Amino acid sequence: MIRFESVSYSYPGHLGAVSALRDVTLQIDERELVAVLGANGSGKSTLALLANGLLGPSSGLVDVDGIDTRDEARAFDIRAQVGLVLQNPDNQIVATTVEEDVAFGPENLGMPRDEIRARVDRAIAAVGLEGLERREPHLLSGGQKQRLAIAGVLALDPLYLILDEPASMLDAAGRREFDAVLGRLRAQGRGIVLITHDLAAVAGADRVVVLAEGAVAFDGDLGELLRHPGRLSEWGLSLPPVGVLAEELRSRGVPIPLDAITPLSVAEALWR
Amino acid sequence: MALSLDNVDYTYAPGTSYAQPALKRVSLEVSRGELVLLVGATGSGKSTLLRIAAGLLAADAGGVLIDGQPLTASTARGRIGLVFQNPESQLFAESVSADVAFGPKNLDASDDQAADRAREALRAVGLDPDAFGPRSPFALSGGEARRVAIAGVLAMRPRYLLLDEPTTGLDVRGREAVLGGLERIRREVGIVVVTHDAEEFLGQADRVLLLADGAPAFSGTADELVADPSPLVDAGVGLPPLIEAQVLARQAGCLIDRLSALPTEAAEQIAIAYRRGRA
Repeated sequence: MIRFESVSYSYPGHLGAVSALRDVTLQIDERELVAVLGANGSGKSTLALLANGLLGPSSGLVDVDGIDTRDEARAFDIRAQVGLVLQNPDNQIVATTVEEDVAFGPENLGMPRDEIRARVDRAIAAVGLEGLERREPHLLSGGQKQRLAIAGVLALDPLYLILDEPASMLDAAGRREFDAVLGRLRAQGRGIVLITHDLAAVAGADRVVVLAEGAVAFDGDLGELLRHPGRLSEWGLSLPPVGVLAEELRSRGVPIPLDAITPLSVAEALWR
Repeated sequence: MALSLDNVDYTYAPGTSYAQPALKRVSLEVSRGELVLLVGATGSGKSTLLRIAAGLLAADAGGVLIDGQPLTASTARGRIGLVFQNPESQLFAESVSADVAFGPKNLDASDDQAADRAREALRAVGLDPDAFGPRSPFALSGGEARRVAIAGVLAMRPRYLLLDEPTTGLDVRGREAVLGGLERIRREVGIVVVTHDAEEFLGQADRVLLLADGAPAFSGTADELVADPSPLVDAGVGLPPLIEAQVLARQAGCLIDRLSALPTEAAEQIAIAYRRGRA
């Protein structure tokens, strides 16, 4: 598991340190899909950088399967366990073809050729980019680039994946593709942290953690979160239109479950 | 008075083996006081059309007129404001007010005039010029920075404002702030918004042009598209979730009279149909 124990982090600044995370305690288990929700500036991305040791906590402890992320001798093991996919895929695509880009990580670990080949093929299949192995990355659509960035991390076979706003640039078709990839990654048993400001994107999560001004404001399931929708705006979040629809239906006496936030779940409730 | 594109064609790299037709006989018109939504899947030609409308690309065929005159670099100057994707990455000055005043200064406004226009533009997007003017453009929230960038274009007093994905990457507060800013100025200028996410603008738009593979797949009022959203599916954009919920509810036996882009209205319709079904 990835464990945050009373973690605070401040960025150094010339006008004094800027606090980004305050006393955060949470854990992410293997095989769990945890959504981390928060407005811009709530500390979500800082959390991602702390989870794989790119940043060390100013105070408190971050530990990955028993390894303290500040232990520099183990930095390599931690990065191998916790794969981080950043918001903008263009920033992490390095090679001139899709397959070379995916091979970049394993090559740099000095893996044998056959092993690299096998890993690249598996990662490309997991994100559904088969047939595009020789394509130049700049010719891919935004959604394909985002999936390529995920494949590059998957080739290192991490136990945990941290995805920072992975669907922000996608249209409806791209989002559906991404949801399918997410389903496959879950089936592989990886622990996934999905970082987003979009409540509509967290419908499939096992747990939802809300960050507000650097602190954990909520940790529970989606239904519980939506029991008091008034709190969302305090945290800089809001119900997506389908969530508003569900709430308006409940107020009109139509029984829609609290965690129904997708079109299908609302329609299913009406069917019953 | 309108910005109008009439049966426009455009091909990238014409005459080479890479030639790729991007637009085929596309027409678009926006008048002052109107908000037109330009929707399409990735690669459908939205951004190409926006560049032609801004005068940055010349159409291969078809007519482009601004207020009755052919669109050229000089007729476009000062009349068309183009806001690119992530425009806040182009903020550069030492203060918000200097940044917003930069455009009008380059259009030959005096320092005083430019400062006045900057104040006016900041107010138009809902930012208090006294509070925000002296601040650094690099110490703003995402929504504030985006609005400062839009104000920088508005300060040139364009008659037509073209925006490419103006809410991408913003959180809820930022989105609401940008949508509110557009609502405030929409009576004064003609606005074209390019988006891949029809949901957030459908309730606000007057008309919609939907592109699929560079050709028009729908052109009409937003109300018409909401009433029959099937072109969105055919064009690969997909249904906005709120509309999809109503379509699925219909399939589940809720006989809704008409679809709506507004959650409250949709809930009213579904609740009526639901009770009718139970009765």
